Amino acid sequence: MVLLAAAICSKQGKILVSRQFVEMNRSRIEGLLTTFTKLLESGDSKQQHTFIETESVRYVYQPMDSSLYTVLLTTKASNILEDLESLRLFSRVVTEYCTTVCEADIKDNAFQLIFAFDEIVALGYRENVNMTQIRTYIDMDSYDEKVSIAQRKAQEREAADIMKRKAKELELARKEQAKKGGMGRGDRISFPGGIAGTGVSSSEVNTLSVLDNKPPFYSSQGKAAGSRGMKLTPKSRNVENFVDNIMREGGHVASLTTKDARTGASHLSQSAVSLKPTSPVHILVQEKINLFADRNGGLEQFEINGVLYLIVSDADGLENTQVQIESKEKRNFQMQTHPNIDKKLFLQNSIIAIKPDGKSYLLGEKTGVLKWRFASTDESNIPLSINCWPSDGGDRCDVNIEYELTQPNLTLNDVIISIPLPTGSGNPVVTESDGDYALDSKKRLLDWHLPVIDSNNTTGSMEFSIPGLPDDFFPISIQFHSDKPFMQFSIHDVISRNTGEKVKFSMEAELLVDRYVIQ
Amino acid sequence: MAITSEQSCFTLISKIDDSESVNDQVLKQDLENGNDNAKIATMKRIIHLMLNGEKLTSLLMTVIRFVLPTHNHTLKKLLFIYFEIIPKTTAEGKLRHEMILVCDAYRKDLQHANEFVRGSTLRFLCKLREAELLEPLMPSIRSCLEYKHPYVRRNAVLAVFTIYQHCSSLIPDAPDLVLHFLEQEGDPSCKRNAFLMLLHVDERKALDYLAACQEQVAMFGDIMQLVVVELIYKVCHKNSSERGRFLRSVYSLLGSSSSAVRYEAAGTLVTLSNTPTAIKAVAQCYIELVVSESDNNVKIIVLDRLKGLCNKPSHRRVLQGMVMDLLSALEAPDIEVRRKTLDLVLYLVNLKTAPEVSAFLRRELTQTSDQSQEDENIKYKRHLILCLHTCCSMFPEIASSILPSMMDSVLDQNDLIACDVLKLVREMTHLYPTLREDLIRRLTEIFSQVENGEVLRQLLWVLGQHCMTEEEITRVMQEIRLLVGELPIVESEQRKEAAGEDDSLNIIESVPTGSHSYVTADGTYATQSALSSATSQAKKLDDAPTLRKKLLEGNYTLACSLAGALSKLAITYASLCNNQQSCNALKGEAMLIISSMLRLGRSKLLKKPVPAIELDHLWLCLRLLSSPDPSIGLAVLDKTRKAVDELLSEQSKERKMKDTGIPEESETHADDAILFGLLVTGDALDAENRFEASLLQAVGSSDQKDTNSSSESKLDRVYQMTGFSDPIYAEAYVYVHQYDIILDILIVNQTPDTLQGVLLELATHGDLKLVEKPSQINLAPQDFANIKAAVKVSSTENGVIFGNIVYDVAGTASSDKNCVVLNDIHIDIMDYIRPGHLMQEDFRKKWTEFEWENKLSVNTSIKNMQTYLEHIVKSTNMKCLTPPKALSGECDFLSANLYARSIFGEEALANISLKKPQDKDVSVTGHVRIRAKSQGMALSLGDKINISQKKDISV
Repeated sequence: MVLLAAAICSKQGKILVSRQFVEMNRSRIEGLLTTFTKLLESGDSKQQHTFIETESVRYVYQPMDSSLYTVLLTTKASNILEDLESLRLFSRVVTEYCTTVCEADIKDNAFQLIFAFDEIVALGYRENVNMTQIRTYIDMDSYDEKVSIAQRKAQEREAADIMKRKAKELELARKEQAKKGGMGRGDRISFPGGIAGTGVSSSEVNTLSVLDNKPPFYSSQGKAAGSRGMKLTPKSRNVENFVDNIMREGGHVASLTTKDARTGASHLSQSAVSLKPTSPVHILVQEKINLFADRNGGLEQFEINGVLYLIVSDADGLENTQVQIESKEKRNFQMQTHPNIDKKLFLQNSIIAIKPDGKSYLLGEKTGVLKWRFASTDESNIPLSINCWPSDGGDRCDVNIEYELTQPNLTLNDVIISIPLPTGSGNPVVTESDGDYALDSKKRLLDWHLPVIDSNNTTGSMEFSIPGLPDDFFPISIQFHSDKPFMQFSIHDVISRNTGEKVKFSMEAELLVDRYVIQ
Repeated sequence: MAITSEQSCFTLISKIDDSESVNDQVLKQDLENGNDNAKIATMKRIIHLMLNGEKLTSLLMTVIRFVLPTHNHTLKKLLFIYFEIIPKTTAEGKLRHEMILVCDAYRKDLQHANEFVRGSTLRFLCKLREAELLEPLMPSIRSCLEYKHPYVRRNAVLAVFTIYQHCSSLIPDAPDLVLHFLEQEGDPSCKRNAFLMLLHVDERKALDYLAACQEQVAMFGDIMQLVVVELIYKVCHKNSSERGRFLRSVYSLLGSSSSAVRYEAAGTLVTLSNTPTAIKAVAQCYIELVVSESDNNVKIIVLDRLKGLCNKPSHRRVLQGMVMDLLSALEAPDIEVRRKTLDLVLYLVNLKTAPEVSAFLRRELTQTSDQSQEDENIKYKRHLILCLHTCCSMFPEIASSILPSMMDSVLDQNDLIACDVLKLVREMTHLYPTLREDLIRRLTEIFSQVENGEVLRQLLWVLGQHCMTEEEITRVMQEIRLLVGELPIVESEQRKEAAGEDDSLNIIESVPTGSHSYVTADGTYATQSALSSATSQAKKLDDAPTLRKKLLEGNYTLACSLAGALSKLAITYASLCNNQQSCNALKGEAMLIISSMLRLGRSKLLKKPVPAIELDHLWLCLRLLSSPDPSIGLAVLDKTRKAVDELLSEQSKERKMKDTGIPEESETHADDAILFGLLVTGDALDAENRFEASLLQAVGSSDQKDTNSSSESKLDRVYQMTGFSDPIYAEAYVYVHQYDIILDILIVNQTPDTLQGVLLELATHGDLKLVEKPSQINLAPQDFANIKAAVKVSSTENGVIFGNIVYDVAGTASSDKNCVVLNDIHIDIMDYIRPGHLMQEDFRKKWTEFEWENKLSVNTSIKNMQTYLEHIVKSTNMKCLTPPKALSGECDFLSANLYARSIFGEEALANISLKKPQDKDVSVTGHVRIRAKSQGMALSLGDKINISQKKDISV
């Protein structure tokens, strides 16, 4: 799978551009590429395949124009399917960055092409990129950079302002001194702590992380397991068949599970199986909120995505478990069942059951059976509305912030409302606050903690003041979790299709915040 | 030392054409004063110049001062390339101090707010090898592993990877670090790169990780899956006991949605297990790929893989059952794919599948459209027929079912196809007499519909040879009679001619061929143009029966076969029939036809005179028939049969060799070691890691072969370049490595003085290019030094390297330099020529296509023709295409075709025609003709032959 080099050659054997992805010396690559054009000439012009193999390498090429070729140099063991995929991308790049594909144009844009080539292949392995991504990578247009540049400018301005003010104060003090005339000169002049020093120096350190309070995106292990979805494929059974066959034929296949036990399964797999249900049927409901609202209370985007998982840990129930759902929801939820679920039955009777000819659940495996989505731009649907009101009072800014729980049936736990603070302006003075607050000085965030917000505690407020501009206090982001789902429904019963008897079940629900931002 | 051949090179850009001379000063000024755009242009220029050999080292400081602090993104990227190519060390191998500044700038870039700047900086660091430079950057690189943007993380992993590979002391905990990273990572690209690093650096850890998430492998992205497969391959390759563990994963990857993964997994599965189930799964996967992928490249390569799979007899048995699936690959329109598929099918077909396969092929034959008589379709049809031919000769049982229905193809518009079918019929009727009757009947039926001369000739031969009963013979005679028309030919033609000309009875001996004056019916003269006469004649010919038409057209090769067939028929008939009268009647008729053909041949009715040799043949037949002794005739029949026997057995042997290309299965001897599947160790399965081997091969660093033979050949390749009494003695060892020639030159100062500024100046003639100029050195008295120079070769031509050595003698005031002229080094093209194989037809086609011919007369002392041929083959590295069978035997002349390819892909054809005079003691005479596409090739090969001829004389 090693791609050695990508090049553009002319039919006459001229190498216009070539970029190597592994170490090789110059005469070697030149020799190989010259040979390519020679081989091309001697080959049958009518042939319908576009690769040439020599003793040592394989060339995969694509004619770009009457006389130009994009050619990839690969090892002979290289995966041709991958190479063709890359080749397509390479030739798209060429057409993208050269207006007309001709020698002169390619020479003009040689560097652009080399930059783009670099994005496609890393150390001889294809990167998973498409044309749009390449374009972004080449443009190098970074939001973070803009933010940091803006910030640096703001700080510079601020520092200049402070300097001016101090200079004025100083001037005043001096004048006063002059008026008073020669009294105790030396000890009266005091420079209130480092004029601009604090602002500038601290900005250098923190430029990168300010304003971006999005946590680094690593997918949690739970998510990885969840994205597996319905794992009812017959593949696994086939594998066993296959392995059995091989064993019968004298091959040796070590059992994986024993190996795992020996090495001590790493914490990866442990976390995946950590949710051991106790009852025969366990229902897990997971919802995620994505919300963007503007500071004036308008709702820009609000989306809830929910999944219902079933974990059947009773061998009898693998095919027969039926879940009866009772929805109290009047809002417009889009429901979607897994293809393996009897859709009709669900729509008519709100019963989740496997299709007559569907595949059964896997024992003890988490299986997603029902998904729902709710999106709205109606402000009344916001679960927790935030009203942040900074008022510019000269050199200080007073910020009033309050929350209101608009959905009384919800209970939100561990709510954290993070308000960004302007850099270099010292600590805020909190005059009034419901709940706790903490200052994250590294990220310059004021975190307002509220352990529970529910119908007993629908509103609360906080007030603080700090030097800054009203714009400095946005975007506010909110984190919370809840064990009540947003969608109002309940599990009526879990019934076994065979016997009609009710089955004991347990249920667990969680509502998580993906992003909840007031801009 | 701008770009030495040893240094790795990542970028090539062609020269810019403007001839404007470059000046360091101008460039410097542009960099100092220009705005960003001007700087970009200048940087591009500098990189161009440096890539094409300029040194420009003085600019480094300017670049660092004025360009490095930039915020412009394009400029930043250009700087990466600039620092990639700039030599980072001084001539003594010490790090240049300026680079420390660069390093600092990159430390800042690694903390840049722009994720793309960070990412590309990290990518650049992958190419940096100097530990001193990397060291201060390590903390920043580490922190980049945790940056929020996947773009940065993924490049950071690669940087860690390469740094660990080259200077592991800088980051000794890299594997742990990356494993930890991998466990946390969510982005597929980052994951892949991290896994890739573990795979190459620490297999144990990679395996642990894989074992932990083996269940999820099926859910990974395709690029990750590919690396997983590679890891499994690598591990199992090293340690065969691990094989069992991963069968499951690999098998489940065979069902991956990405075809690239499936392909790779299949390739790995073969190395993991030899059991029929595994092989079957692999073959199924491959066949699926061949059928479903639309790209011809994929089809061809996968077919090659399948073929490789077949090379093991045990595997072949598994694959034999899947022949029918493979056949659906024939739907592809590309001839190359079809050809490969057919080859493979032929190789796999067995008694059980043969009927089905042949039925399929026959159907394919009839379905392939006749309308579009494209080259491709004809080629495909011929392949199909060849394939059926082989099938039939392997499994004669099926011949009876498919042959009759193939007869229609004899009437195919294309004569080549028809001839191929007839060849098949010839062989079948000869070898399996049971089929004879049916086939002869069918052939007799379609006899009258055949129009092509060549097809007729072959058809006549088959009929003449294989008609065995009275009834058949009389029927064939009847047909022939009909097709030849009225006898005797000359008289009846002249009569017709006369009738055509309105009963004017002045029959002239010469039939008008050009513009002639005619006497018209009313007695006036008229001029008739050649055109109308020709058309009228052509029209007349159209009406004539086929055989007659051909005869009148002057096709006397056909006449010969007709005569042969007639005489064979008559002789066979005589031996079968007791009725003397009918025997004689048949014989008489045959003689009449032959003699009237003879007559026609000598008459002036034909436009071209008939070659005497063909008339001789007719005479011979006539004489054979007229001879009273029946034994002579029978002897002739017997001889022909034997000759055919010999021909066919030779052909089938040849075909077997070509089709399989693999020695026969029956090579196992009784005393061979037996391999027990359970006891087989890893080495027996697959000798070397294909990934690494192919990479090494491609990068050109596999020298195994050379090192083996170096000891004995090294001395042969030493050229003495100056005389022993010259002040400087020089000799060169010429080392040829594919496209490079490396000269290792030993220079010895033979004087008692110190020689200063000894400079070796080399120049080349021909298609050679000096890559690296040797540098100047000083030589102490009686001292010696080794200098290396690299020359690049780009085509096969006799190149010459020449030059001189210039030096100063220390202490002498004279300003002129001393000079020693060197002997020329002739580069031997034989290093580039490899014997190649070519089909006879292709040889002919190329022979007509190639433009350059070099004709040499044989001038040698060799007295035996075979010895001469062998000598030429040996000294030119060419391959003799003429089969040895055709060259054996006592004969006074010899003709052979030779073929070779150069490693640059140039081809050379040669034909040797030799004649041995009667006198035993005289050396052979004749010509050697060389044809090639390029003049250089033809000339240099000719020189080579000339020299080798003479060399032999001196011996």
